[in-house]
Amino acid sequence: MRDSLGLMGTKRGCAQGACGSCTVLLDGEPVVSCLVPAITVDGSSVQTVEGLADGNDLNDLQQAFLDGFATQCGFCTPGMLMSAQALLTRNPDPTRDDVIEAISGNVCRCTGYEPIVRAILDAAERRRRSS
Amino acid sequence: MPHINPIDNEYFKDEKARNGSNFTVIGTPVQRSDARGHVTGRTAFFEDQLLPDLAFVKIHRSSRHHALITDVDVSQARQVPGVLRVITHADVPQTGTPC
Repeated sequence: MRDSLGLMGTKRGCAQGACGSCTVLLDGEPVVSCLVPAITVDGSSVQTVEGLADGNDLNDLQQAFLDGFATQCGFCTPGMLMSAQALLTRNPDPTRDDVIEAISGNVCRCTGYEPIVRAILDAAERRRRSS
Repeated sequence: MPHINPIDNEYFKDEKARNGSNFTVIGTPVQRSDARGHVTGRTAFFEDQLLPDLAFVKIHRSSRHHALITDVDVSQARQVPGVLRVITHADVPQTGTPC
């Protein structure tokens, strides 16, 4: 994705499945892409952070991260967003613990977890209100 | 440099200025200029830059733990098309304290 397609939004952090910064959605399910050989996903749908926005229009999760100051250095953000996107798709009304569980595989080295959790809960509420 | 007491400054003699009520930025949430790049994945970090004619390094580690390496044969590696250089311990100056 990065070297061949130039999609640099998906980050290479640890390259051994420990940090979650390369999380993408594989047929809607979050996976750490560093552990998924490309040849095994032939014919599958792969969504990266680049696929969240509609042109210049951010999706509700991205907007909630922006409004909630949920990024610091920004390196973990794409992975966090993809894990959160998967959570909100399968559970539109998550509890705080659900959110913490959903991003438990995503490491934020700035340790800014609190605004991230708040932003995901905020996005869930926005999504419920608009639906 | 003369010492300037901010309380004596003309600006701070204004009561609205002193309590901050005429500030347009301080006290309000301001969008970070880099956050949009973060949430869209467009912010380029160090590893996100593909420079022209970039060379890549692949590290080959010992296939056995706690083994004593007596010899490293890189002749085949050197023959792989596209390989620019194979570097081993022999390329490192053997001075100082081994770590």
